[in-house]
Amino acid sequence: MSDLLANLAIGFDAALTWEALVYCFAGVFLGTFIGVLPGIGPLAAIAMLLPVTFHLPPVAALIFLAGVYYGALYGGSTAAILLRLPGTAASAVICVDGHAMARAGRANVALVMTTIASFIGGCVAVLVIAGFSPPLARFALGMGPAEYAALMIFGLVAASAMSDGSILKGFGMVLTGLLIGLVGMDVTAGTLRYTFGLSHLADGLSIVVLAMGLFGISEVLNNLTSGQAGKIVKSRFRLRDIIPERRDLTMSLAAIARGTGIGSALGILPGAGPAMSSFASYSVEKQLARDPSRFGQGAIEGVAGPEASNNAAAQTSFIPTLTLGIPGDAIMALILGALMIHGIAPGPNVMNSHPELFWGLIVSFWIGNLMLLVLNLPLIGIWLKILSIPYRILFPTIMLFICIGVYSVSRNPADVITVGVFGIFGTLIYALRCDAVPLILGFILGPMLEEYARRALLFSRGDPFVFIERPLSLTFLLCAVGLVVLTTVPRVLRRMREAKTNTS
Amino acid sequence: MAEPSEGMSRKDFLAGVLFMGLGGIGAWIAGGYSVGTASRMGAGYFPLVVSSLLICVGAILLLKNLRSALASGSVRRASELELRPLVRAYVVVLLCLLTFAALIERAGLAATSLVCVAISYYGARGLMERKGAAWEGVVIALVLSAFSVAVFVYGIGLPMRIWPR
Repeated sequence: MSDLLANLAIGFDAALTWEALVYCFAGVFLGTFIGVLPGIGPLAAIAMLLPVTFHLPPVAALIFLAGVYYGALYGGSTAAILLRLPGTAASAVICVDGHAMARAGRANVALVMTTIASFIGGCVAVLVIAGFSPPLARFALGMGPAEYAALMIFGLVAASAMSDGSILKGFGMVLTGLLIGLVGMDVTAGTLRYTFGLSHLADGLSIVVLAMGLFGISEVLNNLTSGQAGKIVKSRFRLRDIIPERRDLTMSLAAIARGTGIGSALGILPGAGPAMSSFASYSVEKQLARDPSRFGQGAIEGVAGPEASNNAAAQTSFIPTLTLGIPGDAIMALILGALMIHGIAPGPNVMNSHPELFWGLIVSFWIGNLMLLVLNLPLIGIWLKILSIPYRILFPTIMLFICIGVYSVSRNPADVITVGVFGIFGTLIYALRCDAVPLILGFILGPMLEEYARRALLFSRGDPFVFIERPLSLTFLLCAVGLVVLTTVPRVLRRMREAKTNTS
Repeated sequence: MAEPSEGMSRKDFLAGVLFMGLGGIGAWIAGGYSVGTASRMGAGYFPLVVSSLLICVGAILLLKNLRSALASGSVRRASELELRPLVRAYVVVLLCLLTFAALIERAGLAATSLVCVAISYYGARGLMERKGAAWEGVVIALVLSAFSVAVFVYGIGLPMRIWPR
């Protein structure tokens, strides 16, 4: 314990300099504004600002980039809630109930709650990093391909169960997402799959293209055709609205606590974890809710839980990156690259060789989260003004931003057309009352699941029992089965009871 | 939760058809890739597994709702569906995307934004409840074009052409 305090003292020394504070603020500020722009998520924001950090001292550079990272994450949720324009998988989850709340005139509540949720999630996760980084990193390293594959299967089942309507349709959407995720070059064999001879599909599809099409364009099309273009009940925002109502707060706090736990745990697992965190939190909240039918209609737990989970995972995903040198995703790979440019090799020794960097970063995470809170609560009033813009002006603006955002991903005009295709597909599945959110998770996990399953079966020489023999893997699979039973059995029982009363 | 209505049941039926179709296409294309064995998966192994599962899910949905879907076989009345605004919305949105894709590399961001905003503003004008003055679209196009260039190119430094080449 005294070790921890001493370490944190080193951290405060490093992070509480004027220089570090200024860069932390600049990072959070720029990240938020860039993140609000549709289609430009944390990855693009960090990639764009990376060159700026080359001439900074290492601690300042890392603090700045971390600020950009969670600033952009937060900004992305804002765009998802107000305009249903998610640029990341996490904000695709947030926008389900967040945008429903905005339509019902509760955008102010949703935005305040995401700010609070991401603050709490972030702060708790920082403590997890500070206290348990080395053992957690070792645990994550001990997970083999079979465990990862089983974890992903559990995540996919959880995502199917979160969608409203039947779990079967959820499975269908997850599988469709898996199939779409396979588009592009197969990493092992080098075969081009599902590219239909189009060269721009060789690198696979970007999550931005998929999410902008399925949510952004299909929302625009539904708004235009429903004859009530963008009818959103305006929500007023006064300074005292910063303090949420008692009822919303009590409903959210438990969700935030659970989301923080889920996110902190999943964030440690490179790759799959952070992507799954918000989905996992959403399904947990829906399972626990007394009235699950509220979800999708603007349930505050469905906003607060995933946002806390997402932000907690964003923090703990630094653990494998910093202590093992294993980047979980493209964003962490960029941050790892930034470290190496400054001559720091991440790995088990980084805590000993550069304590001021490691602990400075952790303390700056906390300061950054505080800045996010202070900066964004007053800004909510400005964001809400977006909703009072008439749709005849908002519509061309959204269209232009989608175009620019999607084009900026890889500067390929063909992506802009692909967005249109997914937009039409989005309206089709909306008309069939299928939920697009499980599809997004299938899309992200698809290539990873294939890779881990392939590796697991390679090691076991094709023996499928490898997934059952390993205790952790078995646990994940049993959880998946349990979830299916939990969601289907009550429905079947109810139907049987109803059938009985009908016949008698 | 109420008993699923007939409309819902038909939607589930159609979703089953969609999943079977997607799975069928997926399996058909994956048939062209080398499958391999479980210990040495080829490029086609995983796609075939996913496609087959998708076909199964689709088939279950389809069979489960077959009876009720056939029972309520009456086609939706044409008056319910107003086709013209529907077509118009799709045409405007797709036209805007196609125009952006066609112009951005050659005409630069400034001109492309102008054209795209104009297309979507005037194209969707008839669909809006309250129409603005005729000149409003021009002003919005100019403002948004200047804003995009300032924010996206100068502000966050997206590497994009601004002016026509």
